Amino acid sequence: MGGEVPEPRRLNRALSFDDWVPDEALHLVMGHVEDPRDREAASRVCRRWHRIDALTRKHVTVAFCYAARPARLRERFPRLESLSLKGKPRAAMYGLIPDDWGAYAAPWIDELAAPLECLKALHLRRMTVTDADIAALVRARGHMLQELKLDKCIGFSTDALRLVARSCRSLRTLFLEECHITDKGGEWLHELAVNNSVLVTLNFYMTELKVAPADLELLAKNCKSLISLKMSECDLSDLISFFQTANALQDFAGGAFYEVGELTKYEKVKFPPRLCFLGLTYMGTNEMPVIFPFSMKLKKLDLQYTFLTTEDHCQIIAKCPNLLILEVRNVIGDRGLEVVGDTCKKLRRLRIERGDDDPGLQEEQGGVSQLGLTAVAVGCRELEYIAAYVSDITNGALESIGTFCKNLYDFRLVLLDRERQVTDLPLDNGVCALLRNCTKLRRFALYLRPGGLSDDGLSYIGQYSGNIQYMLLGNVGESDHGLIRFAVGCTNLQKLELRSCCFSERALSLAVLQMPSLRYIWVQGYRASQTGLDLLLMARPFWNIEFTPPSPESFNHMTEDGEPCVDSHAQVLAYYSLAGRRSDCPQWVIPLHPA
Amino acid sequence: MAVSDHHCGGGGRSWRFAVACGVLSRCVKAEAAAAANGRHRHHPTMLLMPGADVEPDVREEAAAAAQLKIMYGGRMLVFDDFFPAGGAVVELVRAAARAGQDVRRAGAARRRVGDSRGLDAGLPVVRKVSLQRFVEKRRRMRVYHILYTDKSSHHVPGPGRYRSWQCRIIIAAVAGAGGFVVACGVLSRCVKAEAAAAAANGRRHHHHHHTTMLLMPGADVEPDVREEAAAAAQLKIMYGGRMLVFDDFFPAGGAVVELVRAAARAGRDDDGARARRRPAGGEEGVAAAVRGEEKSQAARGDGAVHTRHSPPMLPARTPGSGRTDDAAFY
Repeated sequence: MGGEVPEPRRLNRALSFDDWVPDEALHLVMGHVEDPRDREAASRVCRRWHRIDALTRKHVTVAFCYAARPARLRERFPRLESLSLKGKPRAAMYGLIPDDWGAYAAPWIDELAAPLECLKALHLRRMTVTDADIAALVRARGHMLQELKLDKCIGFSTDALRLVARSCRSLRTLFLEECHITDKGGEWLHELAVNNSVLVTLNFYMTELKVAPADLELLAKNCKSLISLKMSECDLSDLISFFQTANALQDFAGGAFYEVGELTKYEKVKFPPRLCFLGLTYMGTNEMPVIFPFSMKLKKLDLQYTFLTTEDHCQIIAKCPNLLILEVRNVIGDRGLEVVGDTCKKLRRLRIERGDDDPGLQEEQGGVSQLGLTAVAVGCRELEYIAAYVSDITNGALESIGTFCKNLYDFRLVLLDRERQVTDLPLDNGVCALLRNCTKLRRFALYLRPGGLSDDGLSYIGQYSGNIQYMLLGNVGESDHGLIRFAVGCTNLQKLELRSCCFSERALSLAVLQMPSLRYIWVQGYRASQTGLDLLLMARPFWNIEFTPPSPESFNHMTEDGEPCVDSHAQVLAYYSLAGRRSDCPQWVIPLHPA
Repeated sequence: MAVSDHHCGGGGRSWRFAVACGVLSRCVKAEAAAAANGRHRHHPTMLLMPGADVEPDVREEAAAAAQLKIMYGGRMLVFDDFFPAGGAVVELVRAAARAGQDVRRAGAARRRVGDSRGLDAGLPVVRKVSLQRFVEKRRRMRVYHILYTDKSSHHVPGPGRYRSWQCRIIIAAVAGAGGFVVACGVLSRCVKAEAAAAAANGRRHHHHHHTTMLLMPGADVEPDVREEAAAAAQLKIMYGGRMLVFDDFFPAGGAVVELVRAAARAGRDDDGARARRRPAGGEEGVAAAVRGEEKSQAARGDGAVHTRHSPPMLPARTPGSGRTDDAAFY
């Protein structure tokens, strides 16, 4: 699509012409419109377009499962082929949302599985899915289901997977990454290997499932088009015959090096010829050489779950000049990032996660600062995505990113709270420069510490974030005034997450009312009042407000680190919904509404 | 598999189409007779829950003080939330508590800092669940390698092999792996294996030093053998901010094994297994020994930080006692 925006007069002509265009023609044209935003705009033109869009829409993403009713979806899009549903707030991935919060798949599957006769792909993210739900889905759609993605979901067992494996013979994608699955044995994989011959993608990465290497080998034998396997832990030396069989494999992640320091045991591992996306769990210094022979070919390298030191990172990355995606922990250090900047000129995505910050662990001396980020910005001009946990930062580094990374689409920065001194705060000017220069930015996250960004800086974000649709801000701003100045500028912001900020309830409410596109806001850590009354200032039709008071039990909770759990602060979630108030709130979530 | 799957390139391209549709839509609406309107009524009368103000957890400090630590042979065990509730271990830790030297708990201090930071200076940065799991698992794996690398020969690295940071890993791992009983089991196995290794060492000298795996390359420093041997032979018990040190404490006669078994039994008491028999022997023995220890220190009046015992201070294990409890350790 594209072209000039037509004048209203010409549009009138187009409208009268529209009456002449037969439905069939409009159907055909509409079939070529794929971008969901184009679809949305087209559907608002007139009833006829709305109807034809509805009949021809093949894919829908429901960004929050409580924002719409499943029945409404079914009525409007009867020929849907693919559906994505998102559940719990993102904070769930950080342990900040209890399991029983909600986001149940049951109402959706019960309502949609049978009537949506064209449905062949279902993607559920951060939802609670039971064995019964999966059984219902398989009963209704199993014969034609091609894609089942359960992404960070909980509540089901391998019994359901067995059923899927047995019944869904056209399944091409089975995705279970980071799901919490009750493991009742590895038969599901055996069934899958026996019954399926078209599987392309299998992902049970970061799950606790135990599987038999022989079943994987059988799978590779039967599914000649298996391109991607991401799996739970399993000693790599047991996968030798799998790798020999899986000739089409391009993407592998998981496995494990259980014998630390035993390269001889792993020397026999030969990866398939086309492999170019790789992440090996628990890889250490001594095992690192297994990837040297084909490191030139690698496009993606995931080192997040390895035991490599800073020096190892330097060594290995220097051998990977063709990387497009690199995912590491902050152990990579500034030195490692300098190597990235020098070597990986095609890099598009860079993720630097937070590793173990216990200073006693000597191999984790890394830590990323302005030096590393600047080196990457200068060296990797193609970057579209940067997510980094840093220990130190300066305005200059952010300016460099703005200057050099013109293609940046998504930028996320978290300043860790361990280091006492940060070189250069507040980051007002750096943030301003970055936002002004990276005009393609659509997602933006900035988590600092108190004093990290002044009210002026916050207002810059509002002023220069015209295209940004999603934002996460933490420890920014100094006063309510800053938040209001920010909100005034955010015309396209749809989703906002705030954590650990000094804003009052009243300011939060007023800010919400200022942002015309905002449809979802999640807040934890704000200046709560005794009554919570001011949150109701944001009340309006179709706007649901849910308040989660700080839970007294969580004080006693300790993580295995011995650190206190941090879910002890009140949360507010507010969102537009056509479904009305949710009926499955746990007791500890309080829906707020005007009396 | 193309990289474009992983990012959805920015807008711009189709933006104009959407705008055009918007204009069109307004035209359509303008033509139609406008009607309807939502109602806007605010009645903010509802009282909500009191605010998010968090009270500091006073139990935190108590918990730190209630930690029991046993150090021996370059290894350290830490039992969190070890509140005295009767039995031998209580005696033991009380004795340790009275014994003198103040030990600053760096960990507790750090945790307090973290807390105040959580309140005054914003919520702490949280780690992704998947990475948190990895970090914990990683520590546990290290311990696994430390303890069980060469199962076939029951060879466990000699005393003094591991420095304090490694001990910390053990603590974290043991604490993470599920509590007191497990921890005692681990220590017990350590000690047994060590005794076996020591015995074997008498016969086969070459076997002693070379461990079969590389733990953290670069971090392995050649230990000062003399110093470490002395340090290894020390048994330290820390509790309630005080430390008790026994020099030259070689694990002859399985005394430490007995100690931890006793501790394990008492620990399960504390864990809330109410109705249970209390086997005679070990626990009282430990208590008696500690009391005796205390007296001898008082008699010398030297501040009683260090006490020397040529023979093991704990009685050899009473036949039969503890045998039936073995299963619980593993």
